[in-house]
Amino acid sequence: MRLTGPVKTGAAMVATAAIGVSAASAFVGPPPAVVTPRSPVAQPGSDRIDQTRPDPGSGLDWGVRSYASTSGASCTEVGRMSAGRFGHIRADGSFEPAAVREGGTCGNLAVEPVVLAINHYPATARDAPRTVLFGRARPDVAAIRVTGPDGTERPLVAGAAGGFVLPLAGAVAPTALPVQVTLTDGQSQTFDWR
Amino acid sequence: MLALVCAFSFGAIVRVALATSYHTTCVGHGFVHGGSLNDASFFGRVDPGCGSTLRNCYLYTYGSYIGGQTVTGTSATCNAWSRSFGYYTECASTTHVDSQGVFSNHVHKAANWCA
Repeated sequence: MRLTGPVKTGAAMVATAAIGVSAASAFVGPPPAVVTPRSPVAQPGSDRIDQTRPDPGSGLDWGVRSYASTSGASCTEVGRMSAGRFGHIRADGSFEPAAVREGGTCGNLAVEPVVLAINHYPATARDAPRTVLFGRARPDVAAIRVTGPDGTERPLVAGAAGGFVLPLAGAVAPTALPVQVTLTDGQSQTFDWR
Repeated sequence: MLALVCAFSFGAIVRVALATSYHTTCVGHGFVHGGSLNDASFFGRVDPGCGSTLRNCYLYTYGSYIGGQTVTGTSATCNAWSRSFGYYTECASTTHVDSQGVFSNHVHKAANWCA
């Protein structure tokens, strides 16, 4: 079979582009596909809305969704709640439902008692800033206490799958939110974000 | 000949752009695209490991801060999802990441950087 002129040209361009990729790789190292991030992708059917809390202002409630990832990790994801649905708020202020995918923060509850995270939401044209502490605790966690920036101690009660969430007004530094975790055997551990 | 030069350059540019989005310095970290390069779903991500107990991943679009995440402990992956903070132009976005004791704050661009 004989190749026509345009086909030959196209094939030559593809081949040359591949050579370009190869040449550039000599300077930038192995391709990123070699480096695979740990998968936070959800196992179908493993998710549940574990807990909701009111917004410190007048916004939609906050919710925490717990799920298991395909890599076996325990994941926790924070979002907003509207009519029982989990989602996020778009720039125009509308609510956008979010099916569970790979938006969670995932960790290993076999090696530590909680997965702990803080999301930072800066001020927008519509909303004041928020700092949202959230996470997931394993079953042998008896108590979770957060000391707020005003020195007030706030106990958090985890949901059935271990999820918990604490939305706060303003931009709060993580170091102002130490978390003390007490296990059922009496041991305790403090996470001071340092 | 010009077409071949352009094709070579295109391949090289794509390769270099991808290299800026995600890499490993003891632990994997950087800018991760979601379902596609243009669906406004992207992540700033820092894997745990190498002794780190504090990791940050912040997101910026057109140089403006849109939100971020801090995680503590030894096993959690910092995973700031753009959709948590709104709906932003993916190709104009970056993530600023750090992992205490492992690497300091630095910037990773979208693979299809356009800003």
